Amino acid sequence: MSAVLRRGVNARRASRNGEAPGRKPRSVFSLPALVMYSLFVIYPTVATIYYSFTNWNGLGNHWHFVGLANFRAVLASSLERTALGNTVEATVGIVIGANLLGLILAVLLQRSSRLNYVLRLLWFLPAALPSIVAGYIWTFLYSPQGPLDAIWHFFDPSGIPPGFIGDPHQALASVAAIAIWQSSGYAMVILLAGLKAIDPQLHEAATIDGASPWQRFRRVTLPLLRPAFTVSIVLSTVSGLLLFDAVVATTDGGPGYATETLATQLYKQAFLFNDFGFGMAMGVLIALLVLIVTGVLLFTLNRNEARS
Amino acid sequence: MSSAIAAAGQPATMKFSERWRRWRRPVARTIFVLLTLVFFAPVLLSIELSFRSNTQINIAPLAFPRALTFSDFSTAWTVGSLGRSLVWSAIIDVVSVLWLTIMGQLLAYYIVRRGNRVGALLLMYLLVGLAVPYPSRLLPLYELMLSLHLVGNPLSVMLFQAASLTPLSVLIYRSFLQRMPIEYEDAAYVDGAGHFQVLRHVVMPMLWPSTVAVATLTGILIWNDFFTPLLLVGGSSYATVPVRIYTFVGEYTAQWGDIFAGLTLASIPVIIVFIFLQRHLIEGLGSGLKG
Repeated sequence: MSAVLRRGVNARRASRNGEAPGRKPRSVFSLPALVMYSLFVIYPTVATIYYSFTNWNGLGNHWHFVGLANFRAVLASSLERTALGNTVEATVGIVIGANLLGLILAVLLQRSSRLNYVLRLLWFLPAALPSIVAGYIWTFLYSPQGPLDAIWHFFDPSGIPPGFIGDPHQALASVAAIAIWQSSGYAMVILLAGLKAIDPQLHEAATIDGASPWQRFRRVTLPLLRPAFTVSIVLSTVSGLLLFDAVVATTDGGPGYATETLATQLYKQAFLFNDFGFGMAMGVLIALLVLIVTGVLLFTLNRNEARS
Repeated sequence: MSSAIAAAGQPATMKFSERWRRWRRPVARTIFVLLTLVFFAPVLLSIELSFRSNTQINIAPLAFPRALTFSDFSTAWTVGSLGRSLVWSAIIDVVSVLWLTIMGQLLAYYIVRRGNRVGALLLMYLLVGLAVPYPSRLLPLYELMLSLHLVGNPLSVMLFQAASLTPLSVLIYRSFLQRMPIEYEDAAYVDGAGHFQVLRHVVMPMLWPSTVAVATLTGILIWNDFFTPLLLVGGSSYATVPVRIYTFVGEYTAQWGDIFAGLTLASIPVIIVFIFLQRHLIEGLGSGLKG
């Protein structure tokens, strides 16, 4: 065994010195994935950028360039500013809610036991459901005279139950709650994975040094959980910024414009109102927003990681 | 073990913490199990509702069921033609995942072992697909599928899913590969193996745990995807389950019993897969994060 390994090490050194070319993988390995990815992901993306500078309506074969007119229209629209505000508000709620819940769950369920296995399963299940299914389940729960109203009346027979998705002031929070219900399971799984990766000897060492459970959590677990946190925060941020399915299945942007998000607006402008150029300009702006936000998140979270 | 060490290290605080420890566990456990049930209740409720008649639901949404009926399921199965879409969802899912895992491994292997600038450049190229929101590239995609005569054909959904989940699968495979010692491959090369033999008999078997993780994750994502299948196979008889449910809800406004029967049918495959593969998914993501 060790002889084989030593031979391998020698071969590696040799290849580093350029003595054994051909050890690098053939580029043909990369071709199937790259061709398909370029055709069905990159080409439509580039086409989107191209069309965002035109007045194409998505159907005909003729269009001409209109410069930055689409982008100006998007930025000047008060509806799109509302959608941006809603999206940011919902995203902040989803990121904090899902990751906090995910952290608590991961810490409580990290030990492997039969009970924990079942509990993990139950907490993750909403994440595994199709989000359109989750949306319809909650539409029913929120409906007037629905289960939540019934529970409210049980505790307060004379009171008026909240309107949830029917109330302009509660609709956004109600929709965000569905997203939290679904994405906390994902955060839990990612953070559980991060906890599993922590060397138990570090905890034992800290315990021997007299650290309390809270100190161990604060000084050992949390700092070492940072890579996992980075992943789950970035993922939940992106899912928040692209919030779509939960809105479509529940409020479709209403009441009024209370739950319009950037993604629902993009869909409506491009596919329902056929203002394809406007929609594509939104697509480009959303992509920029997602890129900048995740870039800033990755930069700050990684920098902290390097420091600790 | 660790509590014994804690007790030996801190004799002064032992008594209080010992007393607290004795009660903390069972109390916290009970509260936590109850909270789990509250969290899980909507899923349970929707399964339960699918066994009730529509009128029963409208009268008392939370009442305990008196008589279980299967009529909702038969409505969803026959009128909603969910049976057919379950089959097509499964076919689309399996083919896309197979395609995705093979291509993803090859590309990730190339990126990691090629190393330096080319690998980094390819990785950046893949991140574009992760960063650009998918609705914004949907209409050019639709036009492309039209010109390939694939709209209404399940192949269009497979191609789209395999292509758009490539970045995710490569990222997961990459983090495994980075920690995989190159010595095994080198040893195989020294022993005279070719590129494809190394890939087939050394790399792919070692990547198997991550393949299970990738397959579970992308399998669930593909099963649940709604918007693109709606666009690509919406009107056809190859509609996937979420698409079928969406049109079903549109056709039968507020017949909650039938809707919930449909929702239950749509969720059962995901639940079964997840029950059996949960451990792999968590372990897979875990070893993926170590890198």
